[in-house]
Amino acid sequence: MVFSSPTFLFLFLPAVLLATWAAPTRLRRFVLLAASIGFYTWGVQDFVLLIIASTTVDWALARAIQRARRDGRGRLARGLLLVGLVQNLGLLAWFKYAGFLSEQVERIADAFGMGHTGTLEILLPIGISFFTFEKVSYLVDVWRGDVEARRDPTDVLLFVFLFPRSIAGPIVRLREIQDDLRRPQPRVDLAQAGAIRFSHGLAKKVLIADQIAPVADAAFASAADGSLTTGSAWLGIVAYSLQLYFDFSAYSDMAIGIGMMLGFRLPENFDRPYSSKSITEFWRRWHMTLSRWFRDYVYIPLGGNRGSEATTRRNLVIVFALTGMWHGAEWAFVLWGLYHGAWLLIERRMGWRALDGPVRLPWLRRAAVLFIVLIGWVLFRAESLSLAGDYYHAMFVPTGGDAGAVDVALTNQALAAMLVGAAIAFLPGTMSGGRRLVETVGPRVATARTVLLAVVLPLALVTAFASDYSPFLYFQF
Amino acid sequence: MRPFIRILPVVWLLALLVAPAAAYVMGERQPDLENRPKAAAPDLNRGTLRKEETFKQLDAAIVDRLPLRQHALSLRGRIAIDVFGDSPNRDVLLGDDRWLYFREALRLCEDEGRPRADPADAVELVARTLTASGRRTGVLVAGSKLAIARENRPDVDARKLDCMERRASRVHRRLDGTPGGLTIRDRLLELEAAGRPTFLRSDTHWNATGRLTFVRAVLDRVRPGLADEVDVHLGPEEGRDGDLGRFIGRERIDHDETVVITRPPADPPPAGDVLLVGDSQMDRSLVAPVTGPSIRDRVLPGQRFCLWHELAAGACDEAMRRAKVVITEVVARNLDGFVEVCWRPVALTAPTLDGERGRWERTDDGRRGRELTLTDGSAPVRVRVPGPDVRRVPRLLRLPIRHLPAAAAGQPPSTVTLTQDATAGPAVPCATPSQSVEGGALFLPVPAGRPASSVLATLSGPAGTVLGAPEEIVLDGR
Repeated sequence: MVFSSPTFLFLFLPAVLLATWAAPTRLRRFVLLAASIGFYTWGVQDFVLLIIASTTVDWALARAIQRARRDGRGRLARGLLLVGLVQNLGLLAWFKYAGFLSEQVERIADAFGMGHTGTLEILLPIGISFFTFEKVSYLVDVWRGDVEARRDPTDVLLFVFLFPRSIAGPIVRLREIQDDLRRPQPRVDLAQAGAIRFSHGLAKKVLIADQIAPVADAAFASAADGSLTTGSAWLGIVAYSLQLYFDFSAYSDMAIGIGMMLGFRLPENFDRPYSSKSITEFWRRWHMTLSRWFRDYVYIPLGGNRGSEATTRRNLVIVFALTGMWHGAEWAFVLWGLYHGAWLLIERRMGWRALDGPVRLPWLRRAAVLFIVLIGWVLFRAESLSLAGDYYHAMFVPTGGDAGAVDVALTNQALAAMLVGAAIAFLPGTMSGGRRLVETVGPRVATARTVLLAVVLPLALVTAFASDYSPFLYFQF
Repeated sequence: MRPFIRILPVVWLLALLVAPAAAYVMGERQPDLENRPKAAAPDLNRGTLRKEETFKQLDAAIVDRLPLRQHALSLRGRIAIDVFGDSPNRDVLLGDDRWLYFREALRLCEDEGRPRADPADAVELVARTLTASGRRTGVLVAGSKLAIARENRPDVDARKLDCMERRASRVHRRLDGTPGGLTIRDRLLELEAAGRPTFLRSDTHWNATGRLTFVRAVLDRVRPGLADEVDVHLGPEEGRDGDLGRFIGRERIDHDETVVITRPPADPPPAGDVLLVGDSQMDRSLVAPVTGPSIRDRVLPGQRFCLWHELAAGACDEAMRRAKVVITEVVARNLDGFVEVCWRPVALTAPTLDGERGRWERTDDGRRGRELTLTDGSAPVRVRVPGPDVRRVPRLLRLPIRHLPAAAAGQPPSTVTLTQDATAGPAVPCATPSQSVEGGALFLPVPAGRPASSVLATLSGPAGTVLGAPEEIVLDGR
């Protein structure tokens, strides 16, 4: 069930909102847990049992880790943490990377004439990358003493399954929502802000991202059949950059909005990333909860930037290789991660990080960052390195001719969505549109809210109701 | 801020979200949309709840039943067309002057280059086999609206359009030169060029002019002069709800004449002598009642009409065996599907044909022989034909089953299956996939111009199965 599907919008969501609000406070979390498990089962069926079992093990391990720490048995606590990491990352490795690994073994065996070793084809449970990281953060935080282990397994189950963010983030830490987990308490002010935030996200998804998607799809399909022209290649990658941002950030807006209506405050995930003045800044504005997770659970434990310059460089390379891998079990994703890691190293070296204070030629900096990011998105979107190579060829080796499929996909609606999307995403700003709508005051924002609710929301719902099934891009990760 | 103003956003959102469910409770129901019945609700039990398909079906069933969707589709259609000038549905293309076209017709060209069975070979094989079996035959491919009604055609991917037209003309040229082939494409194009449209504006089907052309061709193929005898002509006008209108959420009524006859034939063919097999074009032109009994009921009373999926399921086997006249129609966009089912008319009508005996050759060890025994349950083979390896006309290789060991009690009947070697070039169409009758045969076609020795297959069946000498049936129209 995706957030823009009619089943979710017109049955599941209103039913859960009404049931949660109507339920007595002490039963509310059980209502939410049942709804969340139902939501997840809709997407993964049997796997839900495995995830429940794994989460229950996490709950027990966290309790044992805390007990061991309090008893001064540090080695035992560390060992238990290791067990927890192995069970969580092991599941992730099996479901997400075993197939990829078996393909590499097959290739190597083939290259050395050792015959066929066979490849594994394993179905990837939706959202496993997201909730694995959340479960790991819980165990590590308990081990570090940053959060109390939960006595009640319902708390941990609700933390992992909470449906607004269970399958595509934001990546939440238990300590951020621990009070809400125990006693979800919807409030009028939070609910009204959540309704606005949700409407904003839905509009971004169905009125912008979904309208632009066919242009990007057509461009990459043309690259695959060798008919991509240079103009179409650039148009296609700009379309993809907008589609990806509006799709993913829309999902986060909707998740945050639903969370607010249910009484939860989920962390922000995007903050106008395309107006960044450096790649370092981009990663502080793009998928912020993932960057934060890697910073706190990989980069800093590796030593962060506290050691020598060489150690810092090594740490950055490791983090960005893992970031690439997290997005998908393909060499193209690894390369994409390393590409960004390399730019971070260059910025460190050249002093271009532009994190504090004004910079010279800010427009030029933004344009340069955008260019670098666009180039990277080719790797991210291409299904293979060879397709990425074909796409780069079309981008940089001037090719004319009939743009065919891209022209067909560039309808007037798609063009309008691209222009509106570009105006929103590429122009500079200090706060994301969704946050601005619910956090700031003034006549302009009030007018924007009214237009959003009176015109844009009904239009978005009509479009969602009338459109075909349109999965979110990030579910594959 | 006043309390009501504070909760207004969430009340408004909730009101919009519950509107369809509330409408349902108040008795509002969604009509069938998108030219299809509503998706059935899945069985929900412990077994089905473990399957992804169950939830997909549940999703589809819910969406098909939520009221107000037709209003949403209509509103979205209006915005897309009237504000942006775009089609609200990617399957529908907006042509000039409010003409609608179905994009599906271009789909055949999306996978161009993959080695798969050639539809032109398939239609030729069916036409020649039916003709060779002594039946009067008409095999017709109904060209798509995009390929025929060109005047108001929208701008679409030129390469795909070109590919579609090349494929269409290839199929029609082939049918034109094939005994049993029937083509009205040139006539339809002539009418179009003369300013007489042959398709409905908002529908994927022919208008009365197109249907009249088709009906005349079919009746004259059933019996020369039959169309004149019954005086088939255009009749009074009526409104037709265009099938493409629904796709864009707008009801579109096309005003169109009817096709009628003046009198029934004096001597209609005896019941069961004619079999009509077709798609929706044949159904609409001949079988669907129009202000009274249909053309089929008046001119060909008692004759059977089968849709392709019915034929594929074996529901028309007896009618096919019995028929003396077989007319088939397949819509161009369905040719890929036709390639999958064309084995059936071939297997049903070819058993009466004779051929010269050739030899088996196992491709794993090179052994040759008149007979082939499946000693270990399967054998990769080719057939060495008695005549030239390549011919200008298609052939059928009859692979007779001499001995088929009986299955154990309670087991499904023994079966010999034929699997084509995917590495040996494009698949050949219309090959019999399996045979369960001792004394029966499998038929493996060899398209015109292709060496018989290049068609490789694996035969599988119970150990001890014996196949007799393969025969080469040359479909040269004699």
